[in-house]
Amino acid sequence: MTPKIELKGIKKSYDGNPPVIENLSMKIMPESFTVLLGPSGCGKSTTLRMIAGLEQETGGTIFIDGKDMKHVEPGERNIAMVFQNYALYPTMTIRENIEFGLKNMKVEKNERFERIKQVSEILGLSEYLSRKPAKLSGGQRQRVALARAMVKKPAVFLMDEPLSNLDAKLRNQIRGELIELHKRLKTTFVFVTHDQTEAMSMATDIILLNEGKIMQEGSPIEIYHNPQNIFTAKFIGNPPMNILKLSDFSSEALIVPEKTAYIGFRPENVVIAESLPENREGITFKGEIVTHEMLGSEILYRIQLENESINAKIYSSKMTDYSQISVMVPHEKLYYFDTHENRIFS
Amino acid sequence: MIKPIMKKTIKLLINMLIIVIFFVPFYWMILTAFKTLEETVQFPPSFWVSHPQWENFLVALKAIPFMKFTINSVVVSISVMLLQFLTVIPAAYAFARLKFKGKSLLFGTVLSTMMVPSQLVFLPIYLMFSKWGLINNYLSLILPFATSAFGIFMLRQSFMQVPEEILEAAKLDKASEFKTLTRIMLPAAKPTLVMLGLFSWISTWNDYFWPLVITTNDAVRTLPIGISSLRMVESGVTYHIVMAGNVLLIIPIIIVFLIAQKQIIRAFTYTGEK
Repeated sequence: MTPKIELKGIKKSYDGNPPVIENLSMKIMPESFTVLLGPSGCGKSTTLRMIAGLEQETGGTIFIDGKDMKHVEPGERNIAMVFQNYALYPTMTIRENIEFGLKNMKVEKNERFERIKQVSEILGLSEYLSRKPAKLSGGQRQRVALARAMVKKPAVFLMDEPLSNLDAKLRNQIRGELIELHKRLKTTFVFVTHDQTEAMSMATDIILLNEGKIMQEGSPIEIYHNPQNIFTAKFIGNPPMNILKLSDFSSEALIVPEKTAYIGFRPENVVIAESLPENREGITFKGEIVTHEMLGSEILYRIQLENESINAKIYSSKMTDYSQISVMVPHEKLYYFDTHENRIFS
Repeated sequence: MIKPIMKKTIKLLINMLIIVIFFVPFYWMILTAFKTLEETVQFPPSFWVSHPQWENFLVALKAIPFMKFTINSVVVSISVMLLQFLTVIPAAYAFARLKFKGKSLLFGTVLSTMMVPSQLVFLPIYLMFSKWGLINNYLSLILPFATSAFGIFMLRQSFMQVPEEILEAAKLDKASEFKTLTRIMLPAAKPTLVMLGLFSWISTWNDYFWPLVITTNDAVRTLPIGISSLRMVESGVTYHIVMAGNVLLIIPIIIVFLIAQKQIIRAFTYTGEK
């Protein structure tokens, strides 16, 4: 299958400064919900803006549907973009906002009317069409921005942190709506965020970026269960994976693959008990509970070990008191990393 | 307890002083327009008229070709205003949004023209215009004011307040540069445009100096010069007639101000819409 969007050897630098992106290549598959995920400054928004044509790449080539986009204007790329701050036209009504692109595309009046009616029904905007953006709430404005993108029936939706200005509850709600929308429209979504929960919950494909480089690509399940490196392991999951230096372990009988420098395990795989179990099918530590957070279905503990502290997520309704405890992690839940912080597959 | 009252009183007194400074000349003009000739020279002067002399206005209207002057003023001030919009809008847009070589140098040049007093340049302009034969006609009154550095500066500011994202959204919506300007930039800058239009119109409408310099022919002269010629109607200065003419001169300005009051206040307090 040819990718919907392909980046080949993309380089981007601003005004002769050292490049923010040195050599980036990626493929975004048709009808995928691809999330570009990474900490701020990792180049994910820049990448999205280059796909949109709002930013000119310094080197390399971007293809959409196999066509070189070098000299194609943003308006000609058959894409629509949703911005973080909505970017609605403040002097136009909601209807005019949605209609503006269609008018420029020379869509006929009846057709325009039909399409606006359709999207505003889907997004629940019908009664606001004659209002100005300033009269709407944040969530409604974001829906207008979505409507403005949808009404053009683009081949690709580009979204630049569209949920970050909404409160948590609304964010969850619109997240659900976006998943539904993606299913319904069957087009390619490219979504930029720094929020791993957002990425995990919506994406079919995640591309995790750091400092302009791809750290790992894959489905949410793949990326969660099979991190290729410590960065991915720590970025995905909440709280992040516990990473301990091998040198911190007392030299008790611990069998690790060659070249192992770090051992990692997820907080949700930690077992805690008052005393060590008899049959040790994993690594064990002694520690002390420093803090606990009751999160509803689970309890989050911070446990101080000899040198470092780790997080543990326990699905239990019983709260363990602050006290000395034993910690056990089963062998099969351990991840090993080398000195370059890359995963070692045992 | 005394301090706040003191503060309030001082504030009130200052406000009253300001009102007096602005209001008294105005009141004096209107008052004089209704006086008889004897009353205008009477000492001590009276601050009230018991028998308003409405016919002063008729005298003023008849003494000079009032209609002709008014038409000239309207033609000149409207033309100047439209020409200014025509030159100021593209210039402000370019300075606010486009990238080109020599931009800051050009903008600096535009700004520096604001610092040159018009009394300094009127002579070279006059000489230039007379060489071109542009004297005693509408063009000689209009062309020197065909653009406005102040307007370019102000409009550039409000163009720059339009968030970049909105313009990018317009780009993705396939809007041409012209459409972006007319449908997004100009509506966002509406208060500034209203203010600039008013400033332009009023300053041309009230201008006395340049029309006096460049024209000698009543056929193209504007209202302020016409009004001032009322002084020479009879022997001695007939202040009541001159003031009646002045009242007629400022009536359009007052009407426009009353209509556009809201927009003017918004232009000066504009902080951008989110």
